Amino acid sequence: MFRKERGKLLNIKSFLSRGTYFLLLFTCLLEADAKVSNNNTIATNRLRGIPKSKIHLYEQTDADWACLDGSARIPYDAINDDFCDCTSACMNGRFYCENEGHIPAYIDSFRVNDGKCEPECCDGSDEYDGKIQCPNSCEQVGAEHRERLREIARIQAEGARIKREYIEHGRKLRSEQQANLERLQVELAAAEARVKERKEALEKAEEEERKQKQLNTKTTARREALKKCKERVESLHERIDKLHENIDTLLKIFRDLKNDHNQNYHDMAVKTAIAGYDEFLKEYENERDENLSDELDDEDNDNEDNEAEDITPPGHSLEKDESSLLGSIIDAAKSTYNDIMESIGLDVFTFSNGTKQKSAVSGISKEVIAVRDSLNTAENEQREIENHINDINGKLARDYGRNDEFAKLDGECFEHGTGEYTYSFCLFGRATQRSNKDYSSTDLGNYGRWIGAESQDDPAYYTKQIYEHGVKCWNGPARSLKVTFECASENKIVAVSEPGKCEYVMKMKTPAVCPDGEEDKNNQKNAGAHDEL
Amino acid sequence: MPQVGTVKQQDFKTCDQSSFCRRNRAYADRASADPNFVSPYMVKEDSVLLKDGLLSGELINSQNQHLFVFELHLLENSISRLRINEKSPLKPRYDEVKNFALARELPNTLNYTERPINTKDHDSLTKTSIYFGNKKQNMVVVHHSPFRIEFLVNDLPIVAFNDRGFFNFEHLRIKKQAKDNGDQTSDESSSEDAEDEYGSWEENFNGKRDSKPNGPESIALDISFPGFGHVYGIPEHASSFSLKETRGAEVGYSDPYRLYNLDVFEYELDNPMALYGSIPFMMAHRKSASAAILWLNSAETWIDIVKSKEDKHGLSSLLYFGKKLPTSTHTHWISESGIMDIFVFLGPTPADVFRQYGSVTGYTALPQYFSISYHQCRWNYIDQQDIDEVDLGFDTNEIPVDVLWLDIEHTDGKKYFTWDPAKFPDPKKMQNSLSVKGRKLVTIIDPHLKRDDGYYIYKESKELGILVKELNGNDFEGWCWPGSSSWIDYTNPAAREWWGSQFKLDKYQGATENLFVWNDMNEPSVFSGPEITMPKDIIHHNAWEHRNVHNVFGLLVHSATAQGLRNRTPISKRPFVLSRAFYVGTQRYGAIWTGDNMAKWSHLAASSPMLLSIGISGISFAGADVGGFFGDPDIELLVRWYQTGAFQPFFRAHSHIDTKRREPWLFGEPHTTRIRNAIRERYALLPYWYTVFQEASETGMPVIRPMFVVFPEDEETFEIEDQYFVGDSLLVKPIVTEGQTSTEIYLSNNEIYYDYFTFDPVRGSGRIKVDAPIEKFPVLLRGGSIIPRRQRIRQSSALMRLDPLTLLVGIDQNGEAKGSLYMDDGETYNYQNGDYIHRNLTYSSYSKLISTSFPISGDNTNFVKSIKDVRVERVIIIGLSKKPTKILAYHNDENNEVNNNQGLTFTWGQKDVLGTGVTFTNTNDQVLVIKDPKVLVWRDWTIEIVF
Repeated sequence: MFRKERGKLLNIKSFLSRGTYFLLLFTCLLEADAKVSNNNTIATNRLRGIPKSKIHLYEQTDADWACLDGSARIPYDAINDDFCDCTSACMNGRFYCENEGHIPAYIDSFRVNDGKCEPECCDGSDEYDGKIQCPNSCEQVGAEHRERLREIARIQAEGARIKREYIEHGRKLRSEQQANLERLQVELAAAEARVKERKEALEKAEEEERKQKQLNTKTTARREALKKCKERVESLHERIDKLHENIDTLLKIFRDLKNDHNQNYHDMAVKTAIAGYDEFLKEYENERDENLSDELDDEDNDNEDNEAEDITPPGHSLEKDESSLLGSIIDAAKSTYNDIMESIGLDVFTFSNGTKQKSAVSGISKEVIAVRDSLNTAENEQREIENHINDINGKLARDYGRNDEFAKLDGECFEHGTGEYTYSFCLFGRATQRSNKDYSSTDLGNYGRWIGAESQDDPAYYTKQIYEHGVKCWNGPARSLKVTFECASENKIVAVSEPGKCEYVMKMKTPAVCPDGEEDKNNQKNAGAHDEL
Repeated sequence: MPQVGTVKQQDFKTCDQSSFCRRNRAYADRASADPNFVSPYMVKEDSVLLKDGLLSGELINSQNQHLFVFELHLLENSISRLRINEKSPLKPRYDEVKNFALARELPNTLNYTERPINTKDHDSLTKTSIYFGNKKQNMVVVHHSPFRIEFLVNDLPIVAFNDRGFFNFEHLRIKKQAKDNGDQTSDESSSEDAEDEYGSWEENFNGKRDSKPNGPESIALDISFPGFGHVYGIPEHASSFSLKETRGAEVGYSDPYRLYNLDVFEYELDNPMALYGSIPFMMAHRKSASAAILWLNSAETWIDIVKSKEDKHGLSSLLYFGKKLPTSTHTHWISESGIMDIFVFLGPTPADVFRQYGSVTGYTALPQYFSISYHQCRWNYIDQQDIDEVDLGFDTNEIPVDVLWLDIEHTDGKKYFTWDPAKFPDPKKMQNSLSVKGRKLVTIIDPHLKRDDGYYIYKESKELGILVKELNGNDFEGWCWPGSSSWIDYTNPAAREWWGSQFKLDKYQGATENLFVWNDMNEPSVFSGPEITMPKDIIHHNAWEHRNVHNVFGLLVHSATAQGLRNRTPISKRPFVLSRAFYVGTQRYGAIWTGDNMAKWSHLAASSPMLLSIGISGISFAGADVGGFFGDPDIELLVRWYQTGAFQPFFRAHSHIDTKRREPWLFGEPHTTRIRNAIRERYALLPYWYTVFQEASETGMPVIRPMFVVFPEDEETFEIEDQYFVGDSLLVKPIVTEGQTSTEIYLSNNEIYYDYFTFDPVRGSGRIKVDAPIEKFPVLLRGGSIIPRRQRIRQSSALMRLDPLTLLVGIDQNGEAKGSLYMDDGETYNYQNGDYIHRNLTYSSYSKLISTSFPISGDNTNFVKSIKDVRVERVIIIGLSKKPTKILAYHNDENNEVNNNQGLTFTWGQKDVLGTGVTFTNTNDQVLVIKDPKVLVWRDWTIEIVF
């Protein structure tokens, strides 16, 4: 309701601005002329740069003539006497070129008689005061133009055909997903019931077991110790992961600082930090190398990635090395764990890459385990259904364009190289920039929204997207990418650039924005809906 | 108090950290503190000789018996020059800067008389007094013991040397061996020992060592301006226009003003720290007298300024008749090396001083016409398509522009004279598509060369041996944009010649005649060097240490580039080269700008005093980056900056690579229109600006003029730095405060002015309140002025070449007005052969507007022929008291009126017609607009107004 009213307001506004523009067209006509009309009440020899349809405005009804902008009355003779009498006509006027053989055009009147042939006026009529002779090239220009139009029409027709497929795909997808959603909701109700049932069963089984346990407390102490130990190892494990992540983050911050810092700052603090980073990195790498060679000596080492390392590109070696380092830390933790296990008289069992094996000596009754397993299964099922529902809801809520024409492209990824960098992005997903030198990649942001126009009713609304909140620039904003779509018969990135620091723009061709009959019909329908309000 | 700010103060030296400055300040302190102190320098009595306008002789330092020679030249144009050197220095001291800085060596005047020695007057036995000048109005008095010089004009003291005894000339010496006990410091504090103190033979700063193989060699002198309360000049500093005191004052600085060309990142305002350029020129002004000195030295220089109310010269009785004591200004000049070479310009008016200074150092070169229009720059327009889009953006937004600029990223790996092949695959095509619209391209060419043998510029210059050298003879290596770099030694004439030849169109691949050049980083900026510049002990041509030539280095880069552009075509065209570093004489080569300023209101405000200081020091063609280089200006600041920049001599928008895009149309309406109006106003006024530049090129009058220059008798104007004149007709007061919509403008003499935008009369004396809504800012047309405009806005200045003119006439209280119009082809040197038109425009109380020719020498008329149809299409006369009945126009050599006897069409009392472009409401109905008198600009004509 609200949105529609707003739309209406904007329509009025845009009408007004069109009106203003029209007014300007009229006022310009003064510096103008056209070689037309037999109407003897019009000084046709004086009039230039006016379309035939407007000639009547210059009809002589009086000795004086009123400027079309109302700014003054001037003698009729003063029309087009190379002097600007009507205020707004002087700077803001437009000049009309007939361009016979091509299409007519308006140019700014300040481009008339400036000693330069305007490409828009192929008939050369814009230079008439003798400074320069402009040739009439309308025949050739017109022919080229018509050829170009035909080519555009062909591409647009092909694009529109594909777009209709996209729309059809989007429609199908939407109805399929709606159907799926309904089905899943039924399934979800069943799953929820199952979970509830099994929870009750488990409670019952556990209650019985507790009674049993009281009979046998001998091993409890050991079991408790074991449990604590396990917890401790787990939390250490998590702690290592966390620290490792932190190191990664810090290294990345420093790498960015080093790459992106502005040398013009001559900032000693920054320079010192970078020097420190270089030093640390060297030491860190040495240490890792040592750990790595230690590991390689260890025959029991089950690191599957080792072999892969030789064929990893240099840019990725860091990550691999770090995981080796992590491996060695875990190995150390494992052996400690096993020592503890031995010391308390329990059988040694092993970790496999952090995944625990089920204990054979837990002492829990088979019944309880079975019930618990079946509860887990039911809970997992429920979660899976919920995730699925969320996923579908997310997609259904996503704005794929006026007729879901972009649904087909959701998740499709494209790449474009510019020499120094390769840019890639997945529609409605993530955009990245990859260096072609060192293959390091930089996050340019995730899909944000459509930004082609302020109002969704504006046809331009679905021609531009922003991907935002990428990695923050040193001394600049968080990186972002604006993608502008243009009609074509295939999907292709045609240009990427960085006009402002860390603000990237991309031009992409796609059938999804080609003009089609559908859209116009919808527009009419929408307009009808507004009128009913 | 050190100020808190963005610049890293610790990266740059204070006086205390520069040993020669510290020594000389201490010397001055001892001299001032000791009531019995007498300067040890004396004229050797039997040595003085006056011949052919030259007084020469020997000086002796009575403390160490060291001998010096002095030459006091009496030159034409009321100029004098004092040169002092050691009589027999251990090795030559640097004296070559005069070859770079001076336009010519003026001849000695023979128009002088020595005052006869009066044997009864004991004092006259120990001094030499000479009258000189056309009317013998100037006098120089050389006191022999101690050595001291006074200059007088019409018997009033104007300038005094060694008045306070700070004269100190450290002679070259052999380093003493360290004492056995290793103790190098001495308990005694005699000046001789002070010169051998720590820092004299080696100095460290921020871990960088200056080996100082020549030891102490500084020169210093106190220069007083008795009775002068204000001194100006010595740019470049982000300081006030009237210079502040640097010692002991409540309002002032604790360090001297420093001249040492440096690349200072995010420089601080209100600070005597050195910046990118150095001009050791200082002007003093008081009622009825102006004078100036030029301290011709290119080494690091510090200047202390103090003011006093003492009446040492009995001035109060002469000048003030018992009223309060006049203020005198005392300065102390300290340079690290070289010889002492000082010019004194004796005025007595500001215009005289500018003419005198220009006669020695050269006047502003007449710029290419396009170069005084609007420039669009950014670090960086990233590729050819970007340039095309910006170019088109100006057209679609109907904003004129003449020049698009490419910063360092356009090159292939910061190798100047190359293009990034991926981003600029076809630079000639790009330039040609600009030139269709009369537009130009500027590329940046810096003096540091990437050390890469695959880079032809580096390889050739290395093989030619024209790079700056280390002490050990290797090429100096430092860090700059391309990484490891070397520098051309521009002090070597062969190097300048070779550098200039690199601009030849068959050498500089991808360049066309339509390409002009920007020399940045030529202080030189060396990221790895001490204070971000070259070490002082590295070696230039003829084995001179860098310390001697530092401040002139940037000028030599600039001049070699300008000469290269001038020579690149068979018919020489005027070069356009923008430089960041500058020195005495830079005005002969091109434009400069105030470097890397910030997008802050305070920096917009600072642009006026900075440009005024630079302007009176000879360099009129200067500007500040519109919008501010660092940071993102908000739209109000940007609009105000455009309005200000449109009324400053060099008008270029520029921004840092980390900033958001800010081309004039990116902010939407109403902002685009406001910026468009500012730029269009600049274009409309180009005929006026060009006429003012022509005047500067002949007379040395600054293009933008401080208030005191226009009203030298009005003491209220002496400190004004936030308003100024463009030429002598437009009074400008930029709005430099956020949210401000009105301001006060100071008017002198109760004259009449007219609001330039509304034609409203503005009368009064003192501070007058004027409106300054965001759409405009205070620009007043001075009553009595006639200025030429071109009101047809085109895409570039080149496309306005044949457009008709509008004359804007503001009548003064006597019903009169005058002005001038200068036009030439705007690009060649044909004007030097008389191919120009120069019109004298007068509106007399007989109600006639008359155009007559200035005397023209030469008969080259190609230009005049090319504009034979250019006419005056409109005359606007403001301030008439009644409506005319008839207006006639005729060429003076024809009997018939240009129009028929019915007279010309005109309007009275309505401004908003006949395309005046004025759209503000006003209350002034005394505006006459004459339609199309059709008089031709090149002919003598008269427009007669009949009442």
